[in-house]
Amino acid sequence: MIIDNMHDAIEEITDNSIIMIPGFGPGAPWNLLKELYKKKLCNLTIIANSVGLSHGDSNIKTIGDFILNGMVKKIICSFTASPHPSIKGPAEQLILDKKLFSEVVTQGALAEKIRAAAAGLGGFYTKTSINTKLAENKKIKVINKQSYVFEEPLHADFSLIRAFKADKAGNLIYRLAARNFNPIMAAAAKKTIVEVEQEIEDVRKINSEYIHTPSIYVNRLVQIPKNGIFEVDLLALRTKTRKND
Amino acid sequence: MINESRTLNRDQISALISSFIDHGSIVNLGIGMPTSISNFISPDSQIILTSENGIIGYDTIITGNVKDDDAVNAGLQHVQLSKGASILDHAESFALIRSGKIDYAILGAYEVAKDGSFSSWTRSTDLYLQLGSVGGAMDIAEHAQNLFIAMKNFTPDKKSRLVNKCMLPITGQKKTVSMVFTELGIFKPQGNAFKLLAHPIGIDPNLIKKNIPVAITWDKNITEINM
Repeated sequence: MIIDNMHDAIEEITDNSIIMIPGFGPGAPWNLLKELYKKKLCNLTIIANSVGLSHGDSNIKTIGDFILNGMVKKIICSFTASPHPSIKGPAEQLILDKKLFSEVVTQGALAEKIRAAAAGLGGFYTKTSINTKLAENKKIKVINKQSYVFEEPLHADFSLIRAFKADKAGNLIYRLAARNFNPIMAAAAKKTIVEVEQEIEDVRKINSEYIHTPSIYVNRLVQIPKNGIFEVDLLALRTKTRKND
Repeated sequence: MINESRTLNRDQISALISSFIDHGSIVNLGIGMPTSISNFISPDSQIILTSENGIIGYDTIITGNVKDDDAVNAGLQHVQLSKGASILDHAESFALIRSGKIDYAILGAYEVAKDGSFSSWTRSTDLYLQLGSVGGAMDIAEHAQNLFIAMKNFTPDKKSRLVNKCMLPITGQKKTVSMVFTELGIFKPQGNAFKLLAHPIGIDPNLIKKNIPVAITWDKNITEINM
């Protein structure tokens, strides 16, 4: 379904929702995030790769901003903390104060847990994290003399997706590294809401062979308006991240 | 005292690491110091650089104004895609990592122990399940064929990062790390000691040994690094 504006696109998201947010540098749904931030919801659970520091541009709302404004109950991320001792990530003090629930998941397990949910699986076994503290409360199984850690699937109520191209049916194409978590999150949530960079095309304008996410996973499609957020200064994110290494 | 003008700088360490990567290999470069290695990989080497964000095949880091925000490495630096590059989503990207097809991976670390284990993902010894920055490090450490660590030899308060036993929760178990590259040279974890494989010219191995509280061995004909 094509929706006129960002506000209406997220109207179904309420307090207590579990939301998947893609992005690894590029590929984050900045316009939907900006709109969601305005809604001032609470008790959200966010599934994403990392928390992200606040960006210099006030239009850009990172998960860190949602956390610092008390909208989030729990995060499930591969980075809940900053990689470097000299900088504190937005979630760290709240986690230490037990005001924010959080779960650290390896990036490969995070992606596969999302994919498992999308693929209707009850979980999977992986060698990743074996013999580390990250596996300490998890089930271990020996398969062909090798030890594996059991990981459960990760489901969500909503995923907020950033596509490069779409057709009116809701078929999606992503661009380069902006693809990252988008296709698996689009498939894993009960409701998938998509912001689209390029003008939404008529059906059949996109060759079926090259579609990354088929329309059946997409519930709501919204065109990023001309005055919307297209380019995000990654350098601003990066300069802050660079201080981290 | 170690003469700091003789120690290796970041670029020299990157160049040194690139010389240990076989032609034709598939390579993953971690966030931080390792990303700069891409600038020292010769285009003739047929090496394929991959990034866990799904880019299979990129060349140098691009600085200056020509940039494409959708083409970045693990550290969000803009990169040039190689001819013949391809793109995977995140699940497939990590399936590739777990497949064992990554010949060499280079990561940073807080500590590396003489048994080849290392720590890099959390500084918390009690709240680690909640507070960490593991990223893809455990996936890569467990599955890459050869794991190199690039790091500074000492913490800001001058403690050695080469240790007898990791004090922080480990990222990879024993025998995970193949070699460690620091400003003092190349170290190979060997179980009960580190073997110094090469040292910068002008820094005596005995002096290196004196500054690191772990058993260090080396061969008589040890390589001197002269860059």
